[in-house]
Amino acid sequence: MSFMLVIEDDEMLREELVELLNTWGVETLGARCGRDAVAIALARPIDCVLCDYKLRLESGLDVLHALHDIFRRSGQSPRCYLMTGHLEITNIADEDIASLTDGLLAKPIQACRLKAIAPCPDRGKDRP
Amino acid sequence: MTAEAHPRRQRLLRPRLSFVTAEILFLILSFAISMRQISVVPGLDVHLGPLFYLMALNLFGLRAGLIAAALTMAPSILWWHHFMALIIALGQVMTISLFRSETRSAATISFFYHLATAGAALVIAALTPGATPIDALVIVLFRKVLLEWMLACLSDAAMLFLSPAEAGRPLRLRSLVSILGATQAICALAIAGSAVLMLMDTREAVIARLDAYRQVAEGTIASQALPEAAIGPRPYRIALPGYAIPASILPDDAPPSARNAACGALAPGAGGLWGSAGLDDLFAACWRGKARMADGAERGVLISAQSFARSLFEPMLASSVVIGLLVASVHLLLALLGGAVLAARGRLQDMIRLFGSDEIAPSASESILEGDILARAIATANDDFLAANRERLRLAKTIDELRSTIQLRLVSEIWFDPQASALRFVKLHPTQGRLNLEMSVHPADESLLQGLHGHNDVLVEFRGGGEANADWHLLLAHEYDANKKWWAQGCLIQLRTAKLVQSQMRHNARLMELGAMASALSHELRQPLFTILLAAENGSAMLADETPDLQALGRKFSRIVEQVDRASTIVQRVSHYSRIEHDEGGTADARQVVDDAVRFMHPILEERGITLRTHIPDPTPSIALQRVGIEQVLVNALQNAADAIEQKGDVGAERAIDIMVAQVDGELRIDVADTGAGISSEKAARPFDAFVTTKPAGKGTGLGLYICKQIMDECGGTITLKNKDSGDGAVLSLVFPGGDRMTTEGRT
Repeated sequence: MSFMLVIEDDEMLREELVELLNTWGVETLGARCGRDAVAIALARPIDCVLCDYKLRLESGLDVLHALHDIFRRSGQSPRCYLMTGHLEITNIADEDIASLTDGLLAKPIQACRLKAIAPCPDRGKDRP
Repeated sequence: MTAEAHPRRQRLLRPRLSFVTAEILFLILSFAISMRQISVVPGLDVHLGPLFYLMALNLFGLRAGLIAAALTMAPSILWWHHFMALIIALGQVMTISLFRSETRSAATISFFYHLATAGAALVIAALTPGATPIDALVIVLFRKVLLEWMLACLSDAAMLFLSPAEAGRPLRLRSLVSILGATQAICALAIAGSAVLMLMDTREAVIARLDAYRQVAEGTIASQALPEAAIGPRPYRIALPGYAIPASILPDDAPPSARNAACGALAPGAGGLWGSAGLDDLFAACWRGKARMADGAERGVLISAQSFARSLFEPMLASSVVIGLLVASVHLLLALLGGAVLAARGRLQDMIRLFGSDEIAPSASESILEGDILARAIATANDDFLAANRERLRLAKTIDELRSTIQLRLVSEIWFDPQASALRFVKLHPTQGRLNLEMSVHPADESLLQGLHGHNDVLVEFRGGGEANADWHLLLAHEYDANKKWWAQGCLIQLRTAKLVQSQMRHNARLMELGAMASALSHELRQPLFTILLAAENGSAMLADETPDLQALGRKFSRIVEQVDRASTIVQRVSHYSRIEHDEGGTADARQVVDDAVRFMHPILEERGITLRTHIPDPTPSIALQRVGIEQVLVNALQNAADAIEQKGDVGAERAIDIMVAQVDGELRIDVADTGAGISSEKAARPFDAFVTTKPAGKGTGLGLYICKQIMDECGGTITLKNKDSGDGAVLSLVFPGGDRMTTEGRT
């Protein structure tokens, strides 16, 4: 079973995301901050990461940097996505974002789009 | 009564006496000088009487001129035994008085007057049988014309320097000279001078001829008699040095009585050429002399006085005719010139009178070059003036529009009457005169106006009337009178439009602040929307189960409602802050205002990881101000504080803003302190100037603190910005007057 890590500081949003992804058959865990995310990444392999761009105490890019170090050491190459409500960020071409992520998603992310990036068991069937 | 008791009378009498005295002295002097004739040559005497009576006419008027003419010409009755000279003089004065104008000087009139009288005399002489030859008469009369004219020229020339005497101002030097009068006098003087020179030459010739003949008569020299075909039965000419005169040879058998006939007057030592005899007597006489004949014998000769006079004054006649023609021509030309000058002056006067209208154009018929230049200059100046006037009218119209818009009133004696809650002042109405007026003042601004008494110069905005939406006015008052307790002068300007613009500017500033926060607001709004979307998806998934967990489903719906409320709050907050400002009046709760501002700024502060702490005392003070205004000031203060913290960029440093509300000495004070970069010394000098910002390009309008200052000024409060003493950050302090009073009002 695929595993997905959701990093989001808004508690209700994180809960709903984790619940939905689990409903779709993706084993998902939520992390409130970078420190929690790193702990999870060190604990088990990850297939996909969905991280908020602007966490309350830190930048989503910094968290992804830390996770990438772990992935490199462990030989993993999971897909990583950033999500944000700041629309202007989604329009800029940032080398850092491009090198660390597979895409930058604008909130609110539609269910079909979320299903497309999540490692769902039936992903190939539902992918738009 | 003493002289000091009537200084006014003394002043009135003195000029009058001076005038009369000057007139009498002049007449006496004229009479004294005119008692004698000045002999230029035998038969050519100059009498200065005409000079004096013409000057009397010019200086003192017609009456003095007539008196002077009578006085100065009276001796001529004794000299010539007739009144003609006196009558002619009186006529001359009357004629000049009648016909003198700007183009006709006294000299001109005198010349033609005497020419006319001489012509009349010639006609009479020609029609009357007598011994006087016409040509001799012409000389005599023309001599009279020229002499009188020269004296008139001298009189005119004197008047170039002297002003006519007036009752209050006797003789004085002239300060204004007529170009035309000066031209006439100068031309006449020039011709008169030339005439004098020419006549002086002639005078020499006359004297030489007369002297030669005297020598013949006295037998000093022997003359030679020459045949003369044109004269008498025995025509001879007696050759004298330089010229010859016609003569008759006395026959040997001529009786002694014939030999001595009427020659006594011309005998040597008889007392002058003409003696006291009349013209006819003189010209009928003969002059006896001796001449050597061709055969060497000496014979007695008779020389006719007529012939002698003709030969004697022949050169003078020729010169006089030339001079006369010249004088007549000059006077005619001067009259033409005068007419042209007056016409040009009239046209220039018309142009000046019409200056400012579009009817002015240089006349094509202008005959005086100087006049033409002036006319063109005036026309050009008029065109310039018209253009400037059009611009002035445009500006005046603009000013009128502006004045009607702002309703400017110039007033005086301005004071605030606290009993009537009104501003009282005086306005001077153009037709109704002094009007005592008053303007009721908004209760919130009474204390403001009351507090201004005692200040010499005042500039304050206040609201009129008791209505909530009353117009704003600007009062500028100067010169406070401590005794009367009013300002001597000032003006009142209705600020309706200005206030509207000001309000619009503040609204625009709020919209710009919202624009700067758009990103944070967008993010804040997208969070609940995303949560709602996910909750709905999860709810749908639950419903898809055969046995849905209804409690869990209920929690989903509650969460959706909760997130909708969260989004609505954000939207309300934005619309509240961006609303159009209205004068709400009343008071605002300080805590409520601070909370609203903090809530509005929350997303940015949270996004930037800035901690906000509020310190508000209990009970909460109230502020008598527009809620929107205070909220705008606080939001701006928080925005600046957040920017300053961001600008500092010190990762390890504390990122915090403290809002402290306190009542100090009856005033309400709100301090917004941050841990940011502080303010530069450059910005600290004038932090509230418009368009001054230290933020990066695109981050600040430079109007935030300027608008805050305006809002605080409006409520009579103060705003200050300074660095903390500790050096880590800055403090923006807002002080609202009468905080304690407002607290009570706020509670009620």
